[in-house]
Amino acid sequence: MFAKSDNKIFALLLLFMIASWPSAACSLALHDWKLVFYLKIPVSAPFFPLAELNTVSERMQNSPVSSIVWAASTSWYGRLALSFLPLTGDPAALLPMINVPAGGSMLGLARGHLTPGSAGILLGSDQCSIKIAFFSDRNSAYNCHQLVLLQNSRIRAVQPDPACPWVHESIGQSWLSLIFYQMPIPGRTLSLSMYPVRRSRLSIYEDHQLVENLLSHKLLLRRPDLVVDPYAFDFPELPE
Amino acid sequence: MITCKKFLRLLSFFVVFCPASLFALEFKTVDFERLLRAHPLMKHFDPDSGRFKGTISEIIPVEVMQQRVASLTAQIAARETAKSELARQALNSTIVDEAAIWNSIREHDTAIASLKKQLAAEQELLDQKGVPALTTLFSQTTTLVRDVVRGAAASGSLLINKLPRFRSGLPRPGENDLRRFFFYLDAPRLEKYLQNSGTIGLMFSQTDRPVLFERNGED
Repeated sequence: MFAKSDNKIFALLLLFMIASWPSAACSLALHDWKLVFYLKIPVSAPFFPLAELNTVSERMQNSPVSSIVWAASTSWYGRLALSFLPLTGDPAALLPMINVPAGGSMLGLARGHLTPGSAGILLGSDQCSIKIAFFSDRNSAYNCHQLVLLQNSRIRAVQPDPACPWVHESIGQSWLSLIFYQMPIPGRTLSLSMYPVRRSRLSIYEDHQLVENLLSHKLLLRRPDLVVDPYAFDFPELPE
Repeated sequence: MITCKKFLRLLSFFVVFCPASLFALEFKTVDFERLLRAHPLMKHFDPDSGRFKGTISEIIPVEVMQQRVASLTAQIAARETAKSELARQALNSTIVDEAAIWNSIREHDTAIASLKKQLAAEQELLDQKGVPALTTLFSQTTTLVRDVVRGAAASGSLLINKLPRFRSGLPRPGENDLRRFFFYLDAPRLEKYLQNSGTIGLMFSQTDRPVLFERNGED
């Protein structure tokens, strides 16, 4: 179909495009995670309310939201996490937030704290738990590890918009993941990511050079063509 | 002398019969075309599209995809309206069974989440003009190869076989398939393919002829 010179030009073009295609660091390596340590701890308040903000973010796609009234137990770590969340660029994290004590009726709180038509949203979060999981990668002879902090909580939201009032309930899931080689120190950290931020995973840090070095020395297994990661969240499902 | 004759007879016996029996163990003829045609998945094979009908790799007409997307969107909207009505009742009255209200809301939200997931998948397929990605086809062909080739090759014998030749063009790639191909940074594999492209081309033009299948060969 093509002349020989055309084939060569096409091959060179392909190689150039492949070499210049941007890619995420950890998508290059194929991990086979083995759960080494697991602990589930019930907590009174969410550590990192990413799923809660994601709920507001989704609502903002269909209807304007002016402020958040957050009905949850207050904790120093929750407040600390909240102060960092605007850095993610999520518009929901930039909204003014008022904290009200948790407990009681969410619908009652909505009637008490929100004026109809104010576009404010009442957000409740309870039944929280934190799962701490430590994985080791079989494909790297157990030298590559992943530390996961996964948080589950029941999220309830009410927006008393007179034209179209909105209520929502879901089981929220947020996680932080740290992947490192041998030691969780700078220079050995492959990636740090969080989920969900605007409905997807946000990679905070990725060391592409380190991953490429480990792959070239065959210390990590290169992901073959057309291998689809079976894990929806980059790591195997955690036990209940 | 008698002992020597017996020894020579025994030696002759081994020379004549043993290699033959060994060769019988070493070589085997397998008609992969027959095995492949007998596979249940091949009943769905469509030579025109190079895909399997009624399976995940089947090409769906754009009109059908548009209908599916419209139907899912309508179902989500209906659920949202029902939920909104529940919220209106709950917020306008202080005498409500709040637990029952939240149970209904939970049911609606679970259904909406499931419908949205379906809608995202259908929308993605519609964006690809109803052509599923080649990865769906590869997963099916991998199963075929595993069922047909691995079973025949399990004996460890050298197989003299006839590769099938179907009257089929290349499967139509999906919209994002080329992009996916470029995503993988495996230049050595591409270089290897280009180096062997002449041999591969020859092989594909003569796949109805017997080919020696290497023992313990994985590729």
